[in-house]
Amino acid sequence: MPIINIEGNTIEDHWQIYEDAEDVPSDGDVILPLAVMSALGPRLSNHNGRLGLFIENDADVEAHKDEIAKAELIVLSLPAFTDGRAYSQARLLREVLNYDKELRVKGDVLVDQAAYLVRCGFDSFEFDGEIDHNSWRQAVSFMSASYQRNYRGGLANRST
Amino acid sequence: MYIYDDFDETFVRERAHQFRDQVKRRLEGSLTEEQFRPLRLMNGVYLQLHAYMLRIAVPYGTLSSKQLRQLAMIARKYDKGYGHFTTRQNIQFNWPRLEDIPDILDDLADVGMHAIQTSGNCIRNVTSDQWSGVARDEVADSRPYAELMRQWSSLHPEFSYLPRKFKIAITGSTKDRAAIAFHDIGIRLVRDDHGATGFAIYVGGGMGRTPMVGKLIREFVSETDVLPYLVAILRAYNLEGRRDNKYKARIKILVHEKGIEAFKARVEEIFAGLDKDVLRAKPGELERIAGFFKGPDYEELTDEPKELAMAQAKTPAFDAFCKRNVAEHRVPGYAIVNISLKPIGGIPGDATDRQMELVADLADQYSHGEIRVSHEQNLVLAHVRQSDLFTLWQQLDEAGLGTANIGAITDMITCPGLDYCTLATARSIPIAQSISEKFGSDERQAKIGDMKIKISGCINACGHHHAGHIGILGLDKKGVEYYQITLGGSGDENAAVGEILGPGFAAEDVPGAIDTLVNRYIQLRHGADETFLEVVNRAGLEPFREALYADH
Repeated sequence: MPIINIEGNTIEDHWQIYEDAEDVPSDGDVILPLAVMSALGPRLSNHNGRLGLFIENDADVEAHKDEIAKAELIVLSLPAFTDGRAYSQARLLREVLNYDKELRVKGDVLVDQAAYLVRCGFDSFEFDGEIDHNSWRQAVSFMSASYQRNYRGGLANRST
Repeated sequence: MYIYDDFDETFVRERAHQFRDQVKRRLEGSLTEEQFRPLRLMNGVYLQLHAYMLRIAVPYGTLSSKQLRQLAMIARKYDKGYGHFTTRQNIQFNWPRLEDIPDILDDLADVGMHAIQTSGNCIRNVTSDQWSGVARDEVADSRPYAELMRQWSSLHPEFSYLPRKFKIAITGSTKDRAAIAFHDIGIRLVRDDHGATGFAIYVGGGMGRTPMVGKLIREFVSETDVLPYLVAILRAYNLEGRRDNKYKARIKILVHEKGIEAFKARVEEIFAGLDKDVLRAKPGELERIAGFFKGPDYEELTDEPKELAMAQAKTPAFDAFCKRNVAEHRVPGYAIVNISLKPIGGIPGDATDRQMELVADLADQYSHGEIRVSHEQNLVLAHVRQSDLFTLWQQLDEAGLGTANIGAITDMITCPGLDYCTLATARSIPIAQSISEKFGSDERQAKIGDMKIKISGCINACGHHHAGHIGILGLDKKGVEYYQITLGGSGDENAAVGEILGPGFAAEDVPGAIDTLVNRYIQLRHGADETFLEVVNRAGLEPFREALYADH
């Protein structure tokens, strides 16, 4: 499925997701669900490649600091565009756990949510469906003003 | 009142522009109704029984005369010449065409208004006491905080796809005129031992099919911590609120199922971990906002000027108006004038374009150009000289706005019901009209005293029937409307959910049933000072039940 960055450009993706601990190769950029990464534990220290982490939207991210510390990509889930849990998970990762690597959202991404997702700290976006790059770019930049100064691109410039 | 700067204006104009684009895509067919639905809902556009409905935000119920005139213009140009003020202090128009809505939003932006988040599963219009800044029992003015929260919650990136809608109400008074206990978050301004302003915060109140009174989560949150604390509550709710069942998705269910202690612990845990500095308002921002709410320069006057007493003595109808609709003002010589939108036999909360224009003119002439909307669907002029009351009343009366029934039996909250709403199971407006006509005489209303009747046309309780001293709920049984009656609800500082009396009534029997209850109350009360609600609380439901069902 297409993956884009904030600017709406397609990303060449080398990450591979592995649902089963036994299938995880010893090298390459691998995305592992929380349970898989926990199961492999210290064995991953010999992994020759980058580690990514897939977190379901009902997981308590604060309970998985160890796994998060190892990750160079975290993928959060948007099973339906109306299910907004990933927004708060993203804020916990960014604000509280100070996660500063790539943050991706995967699922039922709606173009009209672009600005919210970007502002909550997501860097890349994996769509279940087709993506219209121009609509995305337009949606990201529709609002130049925003009130929440701690969220990306927030209120830096109120005139007073 | 708060006036937009360039930043606020840019924000609202860009949002209107964005919605214009979304409407265009819908009209062209590139968005399906299903895709368009959440987008229109985020901007206050509903699809009702007969037409689209547009709900416009009136932040904490405050309007300028210029804004009210613009609403009148919109009613005339795009609607059928009237608008409906709602229990969330907003106004809604029932007949706009979808293709006109972008133009309406531009017209609103011209006067610093919008329809942002008047529906959808997001933080809705923050509501407040309609007497903020002028009430005698006020601890502090809630409006600067309400405005701060309006800004903070607008297009909030994290909290725009919550499990369900989210309503915040704030009051600065000891008397609760904002029904804070029936909100997802209710906030009461308090002072600590050193006189510092803070917030008592309640969570998990609400109506709907599972009515609940909000529970205290924190006795005191300081002024600087209030936004971070709200973030902690919203974050806990966004992460843990139920999403499997629409009817169990409000925060009240989460608080109820988890228990207030466990929920509080979770919120406190999140709160403790927050980088609070960046979540607070920018230094100086609250002061900047508060500067807009200093209020007018009042003249030095004294209470009860001679001409007022004379006019009251000479004109009984004006005297009745003063007793019912005029409230004490914190400044001597001034008064709060409540304008009833509940004419006898009329549609509760409706106002015509001409009435809106008249109220705007009167606000300019007598009340520093400012109007308030109450959650009980009335209007308020908050800074009227007592010596102007008589001339003001004369002009109101001439326009059909002089009804002297604030807080009386005919001052009912009523949802739009089956006349407009797709969710409704029964009509509400005709029930309100028939009750209003039955009890319309001034003498009868005066004899009954304070009484709040609230009517909902379905279980979702938009008409606040759970909080009515008498609550009326319209239901449907095999295609026939019938009405269930509850007693003992209250939306004030002693909030309570009403209890069901017994089997329901057919529409035509409702006024008679209310009459029976009222007569029983008159028999039971210990003097005219004991209100209906006090009697229900003292004597219980049994005597009323007996009166109502003895013959059946």
